[in-house]
Amino acid sequence: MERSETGQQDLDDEAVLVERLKAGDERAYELVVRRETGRLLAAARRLVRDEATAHDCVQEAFLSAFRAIDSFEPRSSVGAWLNRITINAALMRLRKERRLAETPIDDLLPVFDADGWRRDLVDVPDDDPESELERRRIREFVRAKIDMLPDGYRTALILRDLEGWSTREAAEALGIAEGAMKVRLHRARAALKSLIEPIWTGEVSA
Amino acid sequence: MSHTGSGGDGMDGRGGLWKRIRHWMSWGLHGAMTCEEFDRGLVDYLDGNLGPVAKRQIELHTVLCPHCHRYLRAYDRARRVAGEALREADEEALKTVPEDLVQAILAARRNGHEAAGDPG
Repeated sequence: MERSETGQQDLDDEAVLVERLKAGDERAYELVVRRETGRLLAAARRLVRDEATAHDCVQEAFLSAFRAIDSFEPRSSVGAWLNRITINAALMRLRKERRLAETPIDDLLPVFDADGWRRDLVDVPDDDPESELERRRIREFVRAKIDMLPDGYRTALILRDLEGWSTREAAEALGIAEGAMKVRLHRARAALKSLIEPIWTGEVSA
Repeated sequence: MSHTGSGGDGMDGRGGLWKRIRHWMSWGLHGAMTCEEFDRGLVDYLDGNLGPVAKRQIELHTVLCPHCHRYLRAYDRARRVAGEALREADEEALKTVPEDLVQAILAARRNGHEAAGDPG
């Protein structure tokens, strides 16, 4: 098939899309940019929390991916590949700005007595609220609390619990040991639990 | 939330029953762990990375300790709600993709090719 005859339907096929990208087909590039930019921008925003920087990360990621398209191996989809490159670009920004350091969040962590017994007691309702409006308000509240976490913890939480990276992958991306990654993830989850607990216990309303 | 206990005999207080359970866990139950040890094992437990003995210790502690039982439920729920909240934000973001960014990426690619003298 001639390059110019490659249709939209053909490009919906991932293998054809990759082939066309490798062949330098402009329509294939535009399709990928239009299809993936929103998702990648969301991923970058979550990490860098600055609109202009997130735009830069997405642009850098696309350009670096396009330059390396010949080495793309279809072990994952083009979208997943671009997502990883974007996240690495965002992490690079955070590292350059020295925003990934672990900062104290002791007030939000579990408390134990001298013998190792828990001193904090939580009581969470068994079920989520029935009303979708209420659940939506809770999700808004949770997003605001995630934003309150220091970057180093928020990043650990996002890489593991949202992006689904393994401990090893996240540790490598953050430049820390796997054990340190587990500690950081645990603290991030524990801190988030403390921050959102008031909405479960009714101390604040959504 | 900090728990100071009421001094009563209920499971939630630091009274007689809870003290007895703690005593059994400390000395009487082979392989029992403290809350702090339980806490340290949570990430591996939820990842399914613990061996059978450590996994059993965590589960035994969850049964015996009402505080950690509730803590685990809240911790796991926070993890789940966080994922849901962030995914919802993604869906919103997909509704409005900035056209200026799309154009900037496409222009940067074209310019890169021209600069490299690549006609493709």
